[in-house]
Amino acid sequence: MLLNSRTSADTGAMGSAGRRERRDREFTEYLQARQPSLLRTAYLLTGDRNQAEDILQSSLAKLYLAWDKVSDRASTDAYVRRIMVNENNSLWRRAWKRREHATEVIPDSPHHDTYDDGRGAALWDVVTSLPPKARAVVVLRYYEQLSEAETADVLGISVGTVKSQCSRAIAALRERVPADLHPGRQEGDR
Amino acid sequence: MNTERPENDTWEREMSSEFERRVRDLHEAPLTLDQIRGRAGSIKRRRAGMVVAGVLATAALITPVALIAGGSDDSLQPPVATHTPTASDTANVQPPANQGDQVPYLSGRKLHRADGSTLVLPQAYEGATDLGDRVVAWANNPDELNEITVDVLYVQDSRADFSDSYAAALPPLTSQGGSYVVFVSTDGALQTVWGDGERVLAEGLPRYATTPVAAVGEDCATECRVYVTLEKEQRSVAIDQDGTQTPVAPGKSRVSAASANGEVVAVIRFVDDFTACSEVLDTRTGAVVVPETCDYRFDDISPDGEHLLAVDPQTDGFGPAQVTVLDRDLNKVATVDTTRSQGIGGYRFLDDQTVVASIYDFGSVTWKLVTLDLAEGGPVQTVLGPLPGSDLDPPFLLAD
Repeated sequence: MLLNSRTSADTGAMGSAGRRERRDREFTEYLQARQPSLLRTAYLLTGDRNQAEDILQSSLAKLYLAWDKVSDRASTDAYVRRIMVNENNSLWRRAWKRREHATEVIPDSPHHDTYDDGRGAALWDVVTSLPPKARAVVVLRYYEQLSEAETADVLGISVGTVKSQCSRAIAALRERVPADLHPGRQEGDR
Repeated sequence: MNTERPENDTWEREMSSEFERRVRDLHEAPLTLDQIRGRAGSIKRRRAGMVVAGVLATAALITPVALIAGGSDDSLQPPVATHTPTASDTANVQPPANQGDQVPYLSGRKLHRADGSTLVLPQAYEGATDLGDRVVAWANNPDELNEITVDVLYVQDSRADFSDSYAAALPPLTSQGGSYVVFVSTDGALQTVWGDGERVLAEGLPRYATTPVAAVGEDCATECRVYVTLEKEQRSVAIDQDGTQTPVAPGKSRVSAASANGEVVAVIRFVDDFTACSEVLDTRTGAVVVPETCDYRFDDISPDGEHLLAVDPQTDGFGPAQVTVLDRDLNKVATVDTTRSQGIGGYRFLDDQTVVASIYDFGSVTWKLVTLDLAEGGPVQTVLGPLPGSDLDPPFLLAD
């Protein structure tokens, strides 16, 4: 069990440096491949570009710390999504954070259609007013296109809760988006 | 997608389309590996401050040695702990009945004492040491980023109320026997507090570069010894109750733990920025009790000095995946093991025969407290939890 300290130290140093190099290389590859996509999800979760980058940075930092534990690389995105949702929930809870961002800028939007009949903006307003956990459900379901079971797994909630949150979100849209902007209404109906 | 109401399908498609529209011009990758590693370092230091209140010596060791050696300002900062109350997740969670006894822990404003009773503290703290008639508790000063507030509380029935308060550079360390605490005040004094007294052992210490790592003796009225690491010099010195300072080991090294009577200490020697080797020394003769090994890092010694709590010296990330109990011949006596989705937050000897550890599960976002009984061959038993709480927002904190 007891190794010669010199030999052991040398081996340990090389092993550690090698392991870190490998981790950094793998992580950089993941970062390059997945960062834009994760940023998009983060934006939809927060509705604010600065906050999106903030939670993405925290989430990726946590992923970096846990990199060696994430054995199944195929599930890495799901792992990061879960961290992002938790980060966003925490951010939302911190009143000082809300104040900080509330006075910062008008909520930005990376894209505006030149033609927008107003339905998109109205829908987005409703989505951004949802509590963060409910919003996470609809983002994962309708943007990430996860199944109800996958969404439940990422969020650590039951499938029934996913269903009920989706139903409530749609009910909120139906109720709060002006009737003349409801899907299916023709221009002439307004 | 939705079979209940056809109209719902339309809304779902509208949401999908709107989400796509909102982000379709976002193709950037604004974060670099260096930025992420920087944030990771700060998270790691926060976790150390949050979770291992009972094993601060260990937490200090987890801070990358390279940062200290490189003179980074970050290395001189105390762990910044921000205990954010999370009402929905933790505040209303009660530990199951008959669990958690004999392992002191904090949950909100309650200090669950080793005898099973509960004390209500005047506020929530990040850590606490039960000294019997007094409790020393600490929290981050919300108005001063690099400052810890150490409150000395008097126990009256089931409550504890303010008595004295100190401003400290780092959270207090509890002595091996649990009878006193020591910390470095913001003016560089090495302050000790025990059940019915206080004493300053040394003054003029570099306040963010002096880390108490082990303390032995009943109290500092008559005889005590505190081991501190001078971070910039990467060496530990022993400071006695009369202020006498004695070097512990030659070269770059630090004490990580001591037996309750102070007769043996674990010393970690830094080979380079990435490698640390451990040994155990007899403090009276300087003799090597456990020869140096680079296979383990010794993070704690049982009060009787017979067992070591060891981890992989290359441990990085959240915390060790495994904590091993070794005897003096480095035979494995028992282990606290985890699954791939778990990490060990804090760990220490509770007494000669018991190890306590907090384990975080990344998958279920829960914490649990486990003990390992050496006398019974080391089965790991869950004594508290799993309880919901994120990695930075645990539902309980180990106390002393």
